[in-house]
Amino acid sequence: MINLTELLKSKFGHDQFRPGQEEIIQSVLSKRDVLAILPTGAGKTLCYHFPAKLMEGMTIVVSPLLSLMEDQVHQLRAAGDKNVVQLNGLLTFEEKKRILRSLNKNSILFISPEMLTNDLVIRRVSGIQIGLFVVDEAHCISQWGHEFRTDYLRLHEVKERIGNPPCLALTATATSQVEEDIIKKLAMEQPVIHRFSVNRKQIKLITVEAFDKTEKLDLFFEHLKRLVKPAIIYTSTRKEAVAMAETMKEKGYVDVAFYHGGMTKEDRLLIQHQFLNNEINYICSTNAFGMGINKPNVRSVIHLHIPPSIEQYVQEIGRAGRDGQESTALLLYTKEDRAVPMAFIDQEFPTERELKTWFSVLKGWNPTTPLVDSSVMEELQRVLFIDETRWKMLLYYFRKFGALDDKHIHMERVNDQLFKKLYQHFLSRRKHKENNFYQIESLLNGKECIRKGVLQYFGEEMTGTLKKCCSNCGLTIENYPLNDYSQDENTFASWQEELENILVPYNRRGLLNETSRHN
Amino acid sequence: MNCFNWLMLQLINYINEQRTIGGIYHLLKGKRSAQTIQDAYLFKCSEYVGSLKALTRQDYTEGLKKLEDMGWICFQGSETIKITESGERKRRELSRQFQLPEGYDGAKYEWNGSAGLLWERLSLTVQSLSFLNRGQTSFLPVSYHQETQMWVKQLFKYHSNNYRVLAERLHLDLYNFLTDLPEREGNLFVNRLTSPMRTGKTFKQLSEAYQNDPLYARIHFQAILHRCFVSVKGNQGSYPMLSQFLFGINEHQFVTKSAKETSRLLKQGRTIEEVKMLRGLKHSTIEDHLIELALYEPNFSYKPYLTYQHIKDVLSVASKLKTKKLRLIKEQLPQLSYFQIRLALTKQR
Repeated sequence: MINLTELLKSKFGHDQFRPGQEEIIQSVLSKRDVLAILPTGAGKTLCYHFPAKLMEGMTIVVSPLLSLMEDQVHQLRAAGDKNVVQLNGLLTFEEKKRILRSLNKNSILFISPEMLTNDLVIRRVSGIQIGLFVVDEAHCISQWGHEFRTDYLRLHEVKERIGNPPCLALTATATSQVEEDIIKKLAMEQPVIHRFSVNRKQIKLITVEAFDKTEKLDLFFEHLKRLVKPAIIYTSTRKEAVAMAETMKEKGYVDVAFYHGGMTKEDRLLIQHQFLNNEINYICSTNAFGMGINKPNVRSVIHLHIPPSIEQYVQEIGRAGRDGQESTALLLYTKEDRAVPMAFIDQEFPTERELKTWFSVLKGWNPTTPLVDSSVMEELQRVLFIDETRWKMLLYYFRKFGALDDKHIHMERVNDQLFKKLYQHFLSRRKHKENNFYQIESLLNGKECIRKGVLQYFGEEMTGTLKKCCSNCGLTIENYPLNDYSQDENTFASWQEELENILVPYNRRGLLNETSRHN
Repeated sequence: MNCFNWLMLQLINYINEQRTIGGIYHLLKGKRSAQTIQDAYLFKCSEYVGSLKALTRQDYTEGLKKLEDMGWICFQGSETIKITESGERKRRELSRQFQLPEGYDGAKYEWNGSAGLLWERLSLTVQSLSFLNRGQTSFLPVSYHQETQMWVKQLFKYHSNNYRVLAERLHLDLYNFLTDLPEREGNLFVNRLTSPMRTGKTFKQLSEAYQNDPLYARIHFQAILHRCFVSVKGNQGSYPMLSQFLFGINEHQFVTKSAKETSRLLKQGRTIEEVKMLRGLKHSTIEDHLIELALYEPNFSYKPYLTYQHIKDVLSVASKLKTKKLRLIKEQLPQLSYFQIRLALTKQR
């Protein structure tokens, strides 16, 4: 038996494993299929990075979100592992080719599900010995998870085509229903299941209902006087994130910035880095912020809206207290806040009328060619007037129910029967999402311990009692001392001085003499 | 927001109903097509090309809607827009508030991404040197772009990984370059840099000196990069380090790679038909290449495609009808093809 702790020290520079890591790594090393459910911030990356270094063959990591993947890859590369590479839609054709060529049995390849279903990629990858197949954020694979993506459903085919390597699925939030679904969708064989409690004891939970928007804002600033920074403030829309950052600045919180998916990549990276370096301490953001950000000392996570599900809530508050120190999750809401998530659900699925219209347009549609290529598909999408996400969803189900294959649309199958099937399906998906929202709503409206409610949702029993557990157990913001933040603004001298500080070592400064300067 | 409105109104004014809203969008966004770059010169708004690179179709549509709501523009049909009288007053007012900075030239440095590439190289090099010289070998790069990362590695290797000397020489060049700019611009530039002491700032965070408009700050920043090209190229000897950053970002980038290949084959004496066959391209694609070459290659020959008289005819019809709409010109000169008309119009600059 190899001594894992010694390897941990020599290869990764850590003295000991964090709870759960060693068991998971042992199971992975024994080449079993493994499903690991580890709480947020427990160090999931090491669970595959470590075995990847020991096992013979390449490691493939399927990662759901592009921005998450980029952050993970650059963090690992920055930490010195140059075997880590990525393949996703953000790369140019040339870059993809270069990566594909460079792959070898030591590579750790991060890849988007879309890329991994590409034939060329599969063929290239099949030519290399594969030691481990990892699916990160595996709850996305389940249609009962909160970020269901159709591209995931074909992963088990890929897994088979590359020779069924041992598979590791990782997630922080999985109910027993999701757990079952992951195993099924990935065709895992007698997997070892490591489930650890989602409970993060160091995160204190406070929820407060405000009478209306105005009171919510007042309450927010009242709480902010006592909540410790750095803090992430989640809003439901981009506009609200921008506006809130502005309001906070006006109130004297100068070290604030907003963040959302509509910003340029460069700006998003700068804000992330500023936050990591404690140059700014408050981020107002949509749910776009957080997944790939490894900041240990976030002390507060504040929601100014109701997240769409308990899973999402647990994921987001889990960004606090990764260093194990005490932190706070505050959720401030009003009755009206239910409107936005309900509207999101409405947009996601077609109504009966929309679906009917699509079908009747489709039936009357005379394709210029019976063969389906990308231009025909684009034309169809325009005719039907569907946005990208719903279009992909529709295509997926058409494929699944045999009305579409790689070359043909089978018009005879676009019939009432298919309509009924789809309608029923969307109806149940909508119900499910609505139900998810009702569950978090009732958690908020209830009088019972919030932590207990969250644990119950994931099928766990609460063991023991916690001091300062949650607002339903008697914790209020008044229990916190007032903050005393002196404004130490990061001063910028002059560009001449700053530029010299950046590039010239201390003992060589001021040597720019008149001869080398242009005049 | 104001700077955004200003740019929109400027472009709408330049185009003056001669192109669709789509054409205006491509100009602002800097679409890499022969049509867009030709329009840029035809309507004499080449400096503006690509000044709103990050613009999405949705933001653009919403922007137009706002201008319409304010009564500054009105739609002529569904695809063309016209600036109204109050819109024109607004445009003049905003033009007193905003100007393109000295040296800013979108067609030269934004359309082809030169300025962006220069900044990626510069910012990643400065970041890397400042971390490495403090013994910090691992850091999160400001640019995730693979090609830029490889370029910086090459640069270091070329200088035998002597980070200290490299940093001091780069410092000297940057110092000399920035000294020639207004103090405000020096501050803007250095504030964008990332080092262990400080992460670079976003345009939003630097907008205070620029009328609180992040977009206006951004345009001034891009102008610094544009001036960097001009200064360094005009005086390579004075900028031994900075001139290395321009390697590979040269005039040839003005023409797309594909057009360059077409040009090479034509220079070998091939005909359009042969090039088409050899490269497996559509006829219209080759024509686009020729338009691009006509715009950018100083000694492009019109002879194989047009006579002197043709060019004269097209230009006189265009000026008589006060139009740049191809269809209207074609009605008067039915014997010429659309391609010939487009090509002739490249002479109008």
